[in-house]
Amino acid sequence: MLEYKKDGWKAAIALGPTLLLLSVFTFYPIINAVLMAFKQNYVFLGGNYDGIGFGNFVTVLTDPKFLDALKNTSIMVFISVPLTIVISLLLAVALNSVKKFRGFFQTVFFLPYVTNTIALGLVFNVVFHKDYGLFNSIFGLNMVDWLGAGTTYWRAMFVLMVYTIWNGLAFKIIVLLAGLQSIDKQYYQAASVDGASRKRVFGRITVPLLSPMILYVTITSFIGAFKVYTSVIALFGKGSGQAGAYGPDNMLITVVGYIYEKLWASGTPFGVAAAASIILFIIILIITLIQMIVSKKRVHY
Amino acid sequence: MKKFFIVLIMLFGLFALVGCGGNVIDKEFADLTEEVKTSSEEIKIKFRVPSGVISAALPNLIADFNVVYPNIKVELDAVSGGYKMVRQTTILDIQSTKAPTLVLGYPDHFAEYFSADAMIKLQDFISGPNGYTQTELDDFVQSYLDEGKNYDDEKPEDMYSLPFNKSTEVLIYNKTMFEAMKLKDDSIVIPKTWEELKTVTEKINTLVQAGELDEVITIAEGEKKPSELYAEGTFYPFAYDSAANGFITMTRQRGGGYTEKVNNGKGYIVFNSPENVAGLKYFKAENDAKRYAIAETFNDIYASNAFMALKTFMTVGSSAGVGHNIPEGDKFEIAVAEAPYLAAKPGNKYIIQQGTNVAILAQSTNKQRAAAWLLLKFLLQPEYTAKFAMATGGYLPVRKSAYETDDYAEYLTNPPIGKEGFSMAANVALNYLNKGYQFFVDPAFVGSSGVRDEVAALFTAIIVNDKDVEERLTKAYQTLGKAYQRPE
Repeated sequence: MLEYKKDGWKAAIALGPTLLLLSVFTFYPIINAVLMAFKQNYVFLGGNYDGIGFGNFVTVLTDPKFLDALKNTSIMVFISVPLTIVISLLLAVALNSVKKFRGFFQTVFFLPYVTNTIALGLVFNVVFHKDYGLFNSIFGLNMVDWLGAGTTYWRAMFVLMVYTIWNGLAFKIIVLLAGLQSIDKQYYQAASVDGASRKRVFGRITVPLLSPMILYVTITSFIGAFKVYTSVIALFGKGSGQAGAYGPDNMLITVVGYIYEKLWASGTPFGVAAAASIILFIIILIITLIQMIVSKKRVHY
Repeated sequence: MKKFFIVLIMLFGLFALVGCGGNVIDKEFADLTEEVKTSSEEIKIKFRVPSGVISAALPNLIADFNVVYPNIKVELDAVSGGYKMVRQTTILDIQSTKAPTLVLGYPDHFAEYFSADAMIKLQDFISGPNGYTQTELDDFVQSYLDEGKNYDDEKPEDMYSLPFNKSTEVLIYNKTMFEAMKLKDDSIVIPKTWEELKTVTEKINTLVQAGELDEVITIAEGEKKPSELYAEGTFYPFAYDSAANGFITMTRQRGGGYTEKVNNGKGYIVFNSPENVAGLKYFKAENDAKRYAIAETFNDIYASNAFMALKTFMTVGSSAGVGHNIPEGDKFEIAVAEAPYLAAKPGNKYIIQQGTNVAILAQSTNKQRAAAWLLLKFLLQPEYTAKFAMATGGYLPVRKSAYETDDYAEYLTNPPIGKEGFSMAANVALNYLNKGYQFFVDPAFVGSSGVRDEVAALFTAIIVNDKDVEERLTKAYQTLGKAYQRPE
C-alpha cells in the first residue's frame, strides 16, 4: 500500500501520464467548452464574441430545432431504455436457466454489440425497405415507407426504437447474466424448500439481488441514450453534403446531432454548440442524481 | 535602456509580422509577381481542392505551368469528403496558422474566411503589373466574376476570388422515349417553359398509363415497365435533382425573393412571399397530379437512378452530373436541353450557376501570394480553363473566348467517346449565354448555406411529406431564427 507522505512521488509518476493525457484531451476541452458557452455569439473561426453572458443558452433554448431534438431524445430515452432493460432482464434470466447452447445464445445476443453501426444501419435499411423490405412482406404491408423520404414521424421513430432496443440488448444481457451467475444458489434452494412460486422467486430473490447491476445498467443506458446520434445517422443518413441526415426534414434530429450541426454550421457558431452541450450535461446530471436518490431505497448491496 | 530598445525592436518586429496576415495589406506583393517570375528561388505553394475529378485533372495542367515557372512548386492538397471537408479542414488550418496558399470554395466559405481576415484581396493583383486588362476581365462570364465581389463593405467592387470550376443546371431527357412519343403525338416536344412542361407531362402520363410506351425500351429482367410503374404510383414524367436549387430557382423566376445580403456577416431571409407561396402550391399540385417530382420522391439524393429505371423521362440536374444519367449499354439515348423558365415572366429566364471559386489565403508570404497569383492566371487562360473543363467533364470554361478555342470547339461539335453527355451540357451552357438566359447566384454571407439547407428541407417536406405550405414556411422562419429576419 502506498502512503501519501512516503510514496507521493511514486503516485505522481504512476498518475502523471494519465493526468497529462486527461488534461489535454478531457479537462482542457471541458473548461474550454464552458468558457465558449458563455462567450456570446462566439464563432470558432476568428474567435470573435460579444461579451460574456447567457446569450448562447437563450439562443439554444428558443431554437425550435433544439426543442425538436430534445423531444426526440426524450422519447428515445424514456421509452427505449426501460423497455431494453426489462427485455434484457427477461432474456438474461431465460439464458441463465438454459443449460444447453447457452454459449451459442450468448454469442447470438452479443453479435450486435460487436458489429459496426453503419453495417447494422444498412441491414435495417434493407429490412425496412419500402419496395422489397422483409418487414413489409412479413406483415403484408403494401409499400409502406419506413426510412425513406415518404415516412412519417412515428414510423421512423418506430424503426429507430426497434434498432436501439435490439442493439442495446447485447451489453445489458451480458452484464445481467454475470450478475445472475454470481447470486448464491443457496437462496434459490431455500426458496424451493419453502415452496415459493417462480414469480415470487424472481420478484423477491433475483431482482433484489441483481439490483446493483440493474442500477448500473440503468444509469449507463440513460447516459448513453441521451447521447444518441450514430444510430440515427446509420438509419437515415444519406451521405455527405445532403440535407436531411436525421430523416426527412431532419425530423429525428437528436441533441448530440444538434450540437454537431451547430459546430460546423455556416459561421461556426461553436458558442451555441457549447451551450447546447452544457444543457445536455445538466440534463444527464439531474437524471443521474434522481436515479441515485431512488436507488438508495431500492438497491440492495 | 539597452534592454528597453531590444524589447521595442522585438515588439516592432512582431507587429510587422502580424500585419502580414489580413485582408488589408499593402500592394507591394502584387509587384512581386515580376520578381517571382524571373527568380530562380524555389517557392512552395499549397493548393487545396476536393479529391475527385478536379484533383485528377489538375496535375497535367500544373505540369504545363511548371514548364513556364519551374521555380514554383505546387503541392496539390486533395481533401476527401467534398467541399464540406475542404471547408472544415481549412477552418481548422486557419485557426492553427497552417492554411494552404490557395483554396477552392463556395462564396459562403469565403465569407467565413474573410470574416477571420484570412483572405487576401485579389483586386491588387488584378490591377497590378501582371493583372488583367479590362478586355480580359470582360472575357470572363460576368455572373461568375460577380461571385468574387461584395466581401468588403466599404469597397464592394473589390475582388477576393476568381471563378474556377463552374457548372449550371440543364434538362436531361430520355431521347429514345421522346422520339417514340413524338411519333404517337407530335405535340410532345421538349418543354422550354414550366407551362409547356405541364401540358407535355399530362400527355406523357396518358401514353404511359395506356401502356403505349412499354415496348419502346427493352428492360432488363426484374425491372418494371413504365405502365407498371405508373400503376404503382412511382412514375413521374419530370424530376428535379436538387430540392434547394428547385426552390431557389423558383424564387428567382417568380420574383418571390430569397435572401438579402446586408454585409459579409449578415443577411436576411425574404422567401415567405405571396409569389413563393403560389409557386410552392403550384409544384405541390403538379406533384399530386403525378407530373412533377424531386429526387427525394424516389427515396434518392439524385434523380439519375429513377431516370435510368424509366421512373422519369426528364430531369433537371447539374451539368457536372450529366454522366450519371447515361445508362450502361444501349438501353436508351439521352440528350440535354435548357432548363425550363416561366413563360408568364419571360424577363426572368434565370438559371442557377453552381461550382466553386478560388481564393488566396493570407497565411502566406508575399512571394507565395505572388506565385499563387501566377498559377491562377495561368490556369484561367482561355485554353487552360477549356482544357480543365474538358478534362473534368461537366465543368464549364469560365471565359467566353474559351468556347472558341480550337480544342473546345471540337469538343462541342465532335466530343470524344464517353464525353458526349458533358459536351451536350456545355452546348446548352453556351446557349444560356447566347439566348437571353441569365445565370444567377444569390449573394453569399456568413450563414447563407444554413438558409440553403433549410429551404431544401422545406421544399422536400412540402413536395414529399405533404406539409402545409404556409405552416412549413413559418416553421422555416422559426428554425432560422430572428438573426435572419429583418427587424420590423
